[in-house]
Amino acid sequence: MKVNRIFLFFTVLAVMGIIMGYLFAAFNEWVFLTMTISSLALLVISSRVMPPTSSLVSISRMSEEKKKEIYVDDEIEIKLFLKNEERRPVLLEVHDLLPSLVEVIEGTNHKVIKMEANEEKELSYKISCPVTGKLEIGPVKIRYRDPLDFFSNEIDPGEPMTLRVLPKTEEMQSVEIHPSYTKHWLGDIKSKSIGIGSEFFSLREYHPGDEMRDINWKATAKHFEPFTNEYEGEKSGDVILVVDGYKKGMVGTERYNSLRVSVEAAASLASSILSARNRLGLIVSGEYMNWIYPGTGKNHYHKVMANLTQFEKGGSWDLKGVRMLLEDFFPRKSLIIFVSPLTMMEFTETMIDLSRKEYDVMVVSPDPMKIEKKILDEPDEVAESFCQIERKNIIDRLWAAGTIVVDWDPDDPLEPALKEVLRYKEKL
Amino acid sequence: MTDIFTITISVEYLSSVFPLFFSIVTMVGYLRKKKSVIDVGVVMSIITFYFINSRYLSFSILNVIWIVAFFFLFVGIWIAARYLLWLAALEDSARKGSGGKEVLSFSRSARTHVTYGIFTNLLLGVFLSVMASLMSSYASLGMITEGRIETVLMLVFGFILFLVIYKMIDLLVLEE
Repeated sequence: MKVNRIFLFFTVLAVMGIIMGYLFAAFNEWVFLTMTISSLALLVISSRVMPPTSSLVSISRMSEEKKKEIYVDDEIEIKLFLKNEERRPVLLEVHDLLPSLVEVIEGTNHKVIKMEANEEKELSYKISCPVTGKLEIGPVKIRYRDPLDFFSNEIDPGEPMTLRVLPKTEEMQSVEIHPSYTKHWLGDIKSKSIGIGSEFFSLREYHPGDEMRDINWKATAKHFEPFTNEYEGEKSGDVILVVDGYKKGMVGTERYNSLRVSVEAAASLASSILSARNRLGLIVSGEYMNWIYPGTGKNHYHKVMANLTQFEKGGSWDLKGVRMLLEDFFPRKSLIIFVSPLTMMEFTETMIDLSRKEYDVMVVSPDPMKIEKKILDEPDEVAESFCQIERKNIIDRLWAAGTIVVDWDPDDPLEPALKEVLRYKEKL
Repeated sequence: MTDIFTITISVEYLSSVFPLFFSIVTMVGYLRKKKSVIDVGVVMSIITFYFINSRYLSFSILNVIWIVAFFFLFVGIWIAARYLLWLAALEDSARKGSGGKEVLSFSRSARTHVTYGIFTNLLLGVFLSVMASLMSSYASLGMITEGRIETVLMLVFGFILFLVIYKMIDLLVLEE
């Protein structure tokens, strides 16, 4: 319980009445006595409105349909259920604490409510978040204030709710990202060799142990001996996504920046790669080096998304770490997709080095100039043209080293840009 | 003789200006949204008001009521001003994230509750103060009143005091 300043002022008034009565004894002393008595009366009355230190309000929180995950910029309704445990009406200031980047779309998270004895109330508001990550909604701060403002009491019942904000993914159905080297496990990539698949490849004589369903009955009837169908093997490969999370090379504001669009691009690519039954690995170089060994399936997808949402931008890790991980821990002959705005020279050099080795390297690069143009009202044209020349040089160097570069405007969907570059690569 | 008289008049005139001056300080504090200025302004207004009245008001029941009523008027304005500033700050904070309709509705409900709370507590305060002031003044000034009036005053005062103490004990027991 906190005693407010006004309470102390009344104590001062009560004391002042006595002192003044003593000092100005020539005047009508009873007036000063009245001042002391009135102040004391108010101090005594304040006991009626003292805040309880025990449980004042019980609280429970629920999000819309008990969701724990939302996508960037999606709305979610947060509901608070409050019950006044007191036997008297109370005036409460309720403040559900939110991280600074969360926007309240509808309703309010900060409210004053009057609650009758044992009354239950529901408060709801809608929020959306423009950045990915793990958010803590709450805890709820409840402040009791008495009508005379003599005392206040702050309590924070209930635990905060954790909400994961996932990056928005783009469905890329018409683009197929295939690694050049396939592995033994099943996938969607036609390997042009006999194996397990669904497309007919050739016929051969029946061998004991062949499955009955693979017997070609038409050919068997024609030649009076059993023939078996052979299929074109469908395989898959390893793809490793490397996301550039270096703070030094980040362009844009806290809400809209190259990192945010890189993460969104990486999430879209991850979804597309895993749906084609490839194995996907992930390296995120931010404040920490997060990495996931290649894997496949729905659980792996969730693991990748969790890593993409949780990493912190930074730059305490050297790029040598990325190269070491790729060379020593990840499988060789994998397709490596770098998602980077290409604002850091060290990152470009790493890509060139890797493409000279036995890796397929692809770069998806959100254009940082387009991001900056969107934010700035009056962009500096000279600086912009210099940056464009520099960026073009980097991209040309990467192409020359055998890297596929997707120069992507983050305002447009990724799929057409990717499709165009892959078609161009096929023609080469 | 004239000079002394002029000086006395000007001191009296000046002293009567003080409550007005401090009331203006309070208003400035309210307009500038500074709670500390309001607090100092009101406290000084009360002290100076009592100082002036101590020179002219003779003891009577009416004068006791008059002086106590003014005290609680100042206090009422003081508490209301502090609450209005608090609510305004809250509305500002809430408006940032919502359309405004809801803010107005909660603000209206809070104002009604606060007004009711302030009014009932101050009314009780006035009653208690008048009783206590009369009793203590009679006692300290050694005035002799009719036995019946004194008994009634004593009974009412004792009853209210008992109620307040009972309430306090009740609250303390609840806390445990």
